[in-house]
Amino acid sequence: MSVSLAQPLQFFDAYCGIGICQQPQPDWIIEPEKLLAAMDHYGIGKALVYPNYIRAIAPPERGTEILRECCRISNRFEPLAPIYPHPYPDLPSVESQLERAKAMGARAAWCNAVSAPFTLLTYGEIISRCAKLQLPILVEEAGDTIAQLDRICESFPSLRVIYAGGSFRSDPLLFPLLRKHENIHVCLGPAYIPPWGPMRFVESFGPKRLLFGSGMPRCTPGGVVGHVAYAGLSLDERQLIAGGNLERLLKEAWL
Amino acid sequence: MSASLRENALLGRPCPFPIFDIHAHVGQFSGITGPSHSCIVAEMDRLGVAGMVVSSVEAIYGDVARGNDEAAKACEMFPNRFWAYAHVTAQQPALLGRELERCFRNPCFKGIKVYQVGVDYDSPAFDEVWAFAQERRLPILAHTWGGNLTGFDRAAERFPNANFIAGHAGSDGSWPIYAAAAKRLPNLYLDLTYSREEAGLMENLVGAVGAEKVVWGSDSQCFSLSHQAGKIMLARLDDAAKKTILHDNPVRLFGFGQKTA
Repeated sequence: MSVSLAQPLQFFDAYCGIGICQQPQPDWIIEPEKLLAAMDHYGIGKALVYPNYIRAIAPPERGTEILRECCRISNRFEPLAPIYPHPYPDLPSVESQLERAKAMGARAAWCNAVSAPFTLLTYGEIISRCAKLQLPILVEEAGDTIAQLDRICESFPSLRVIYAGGSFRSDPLLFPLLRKHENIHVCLGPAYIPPWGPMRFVESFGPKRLLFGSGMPRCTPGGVVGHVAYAGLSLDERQLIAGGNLERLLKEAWL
Repeated sequence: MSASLRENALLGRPCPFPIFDIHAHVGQFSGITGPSHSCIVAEMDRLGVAGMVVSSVEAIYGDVARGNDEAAKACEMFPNRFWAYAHVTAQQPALLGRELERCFRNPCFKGIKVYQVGVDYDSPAFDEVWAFAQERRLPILAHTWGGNLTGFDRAAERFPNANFIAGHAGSDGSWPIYAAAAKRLPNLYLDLTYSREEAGLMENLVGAVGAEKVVWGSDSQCFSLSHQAGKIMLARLDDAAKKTILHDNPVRLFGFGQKTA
């Protein structure tokens, strides 16, 4: 099957960090302007971005401000709003965090497991609200994420999930999870690059549950772009993976 | 004006010159189920990969002769698309020379593959392998990881007329170690096969050692061939460097076909 395209795919990156962080490496592109230039090089039109700042235990409120500031620079950045579980009543409630997310135009939430492990117990209230709002949540692999997602999605089957940070060895765990919970979507890349491209995934689950994810700034996106561009799939299927699926998920959010 | 390799890749077009993949496998790793040979060849066609040199997964894990036969069988099924490495291991010293002699009676074998298990590459146990390679001008690909060359560089120094290729160069942030070794040794080359694409890895490695010391492999059957090709095709390198890596170096080291203009 020839896969050559008349026009490049429209990539919408589902997994990208932005802005300052505690210990950037020399090759990380974290400044919004430089990130835009990198996106141009790799053919990425838009990116759903989280603040690099709070991948460590930095103050979450400041992280959200940084995200807002970065997203103001270009409408090619779509904010992935961090939503935190707070154990104390004097800290921002889930409702107030969702209101703040709405105010910045967010249509997806980041359940960042840095300050609280991603479990039904810790994130239950957040998950309940996100499920009702059809607000997709992005969660990253943290060792037992797939097992936690299984429990969470049993309780909240309508929850829309974007699972990121898998590897080329994830399928034995991931495929049973995907068979059981139809609202779980998967970021293709940066290391979730199983052999034979995305074709085996699409054979099992169709083209609507895979999303392109660059892994910037830690990773360079060229490989994942090639993985999608050269896939032995129809143009429509590749466009869904490149960006169409993420567009749809964000459009369907009610926030 | 012809499109750049980057523009080609964004349009999913095959590379305009033949690419050679010098690090691939036949067989299945546990928990990673690769596609059939036919699917791999179809993916090679989409990318413009003319040929790949495969070693057997079974051989890596100790079933050496059977694994090498499996690699040869793949070459028979797809002549001039698959070429083979003879895999040998110092864990089976009595088999080393005999297995090399046996394999290289078949012209589909183009190089020697070794894996990092127990015996360092500069152990005298491996000397017979390096001498065989040197005498027959065969390239040697070794699995290395994370900057731990386990003597592969020292073996290259002792056998200067054989070409040594360090696999997974730059893995786990270790590119400066690999670059230093390749700069020091004219017969040590770096293979880019790696499941991750850490920021700037391609540009850093090539910038440090020059494209002439870098070769491309996919580790196909372990992970995605297209991903590994995209890393180079879309890298922030000029097209001449990309062609050197994807075509010129493997043609020179393995003797594939004729060099294109």
